[in-house]
Amino acid sequence: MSLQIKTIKSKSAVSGMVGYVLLIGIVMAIGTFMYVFLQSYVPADELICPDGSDISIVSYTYTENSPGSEDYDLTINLKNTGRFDLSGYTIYATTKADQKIATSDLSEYLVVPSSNPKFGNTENGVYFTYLDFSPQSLTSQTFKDIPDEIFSIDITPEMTIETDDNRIKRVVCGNSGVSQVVEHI
Amino acid sequence: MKRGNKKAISPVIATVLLIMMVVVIALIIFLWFKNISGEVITKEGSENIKLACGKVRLESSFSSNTLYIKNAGNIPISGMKVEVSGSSESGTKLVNGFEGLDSGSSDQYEFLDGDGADKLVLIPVLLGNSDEGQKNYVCKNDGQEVII
Repeated sequence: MSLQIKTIKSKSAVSGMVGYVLLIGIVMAIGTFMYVFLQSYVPADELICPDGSDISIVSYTYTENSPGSEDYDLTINLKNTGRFDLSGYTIYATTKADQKIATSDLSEYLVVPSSNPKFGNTENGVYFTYLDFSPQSLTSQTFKDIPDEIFSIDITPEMTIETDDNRIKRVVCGNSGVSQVVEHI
Repeated sequence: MKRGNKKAISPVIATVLLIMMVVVIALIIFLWFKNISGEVITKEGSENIKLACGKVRLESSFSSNTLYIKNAGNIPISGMKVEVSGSSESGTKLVNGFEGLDSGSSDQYEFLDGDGADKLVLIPVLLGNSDEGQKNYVCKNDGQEVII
């Protein structure tokens, strides 16, 4: 019994040209798939305040609105002790002596000057408009008719940062917050 | 049986057919794989929301059945779940009245399920974009423990 092996040396399955087209097509299909699938797993740059952004409470006065009143007034003198302009801040207060996280938003009690307003309040925090709160500058802010007695305040500065796609975004400087225990006079 | 020089289809048609077949097969594989790999939810451009979960920064405390939460990061939070352990109310609970926490804001919520618990873990819920519109995503693997 003899074993016959057929030689197929000269017979090609597909032409060289078709082979290339197939290869390129497959590579492109796999490449496109990998790109689309893995694109979302590329981490975007995290928006954070740069090191050196800081705010300080220089002094404060916390008084009863009027003798015997249950409302209080708070005036704070703030200083930009960082190296960058600040665009605003969030201000929250504790209303219990043992409260660790301040949750009472004071920005709604901010006194906004009617003439030439340099700052204003939003649903969440105080923002500076025309006020250039540049490094080493000071500003005085008054919060009137606060209905609850407060025990401490937490202030977290905010900045505006330009993103890679040229959008201006508000960024909270969570690491640069400042706390102050307040006692009324 | 002799076939000689007779060709079934011309080389050009064969090439076109082959390319079309490759494209169709690639498309089928792509759609199938996309389906089994799950829906992709993104946040802030094209970033996967799973990566955004890792950027959430919370400060929290719990006392007198009240949960105090501060969003100290720059990722807005749309919902909040709490994993309660060590009490009769163990399990994952929703924080009632939670209407979202913007960056830098804080709030307090009554949370009766936390009474007597050994450990509370906050699980943020983020709002992201998917092919079907906006969707909530629960950051199961990025829980943050509450100071009790």
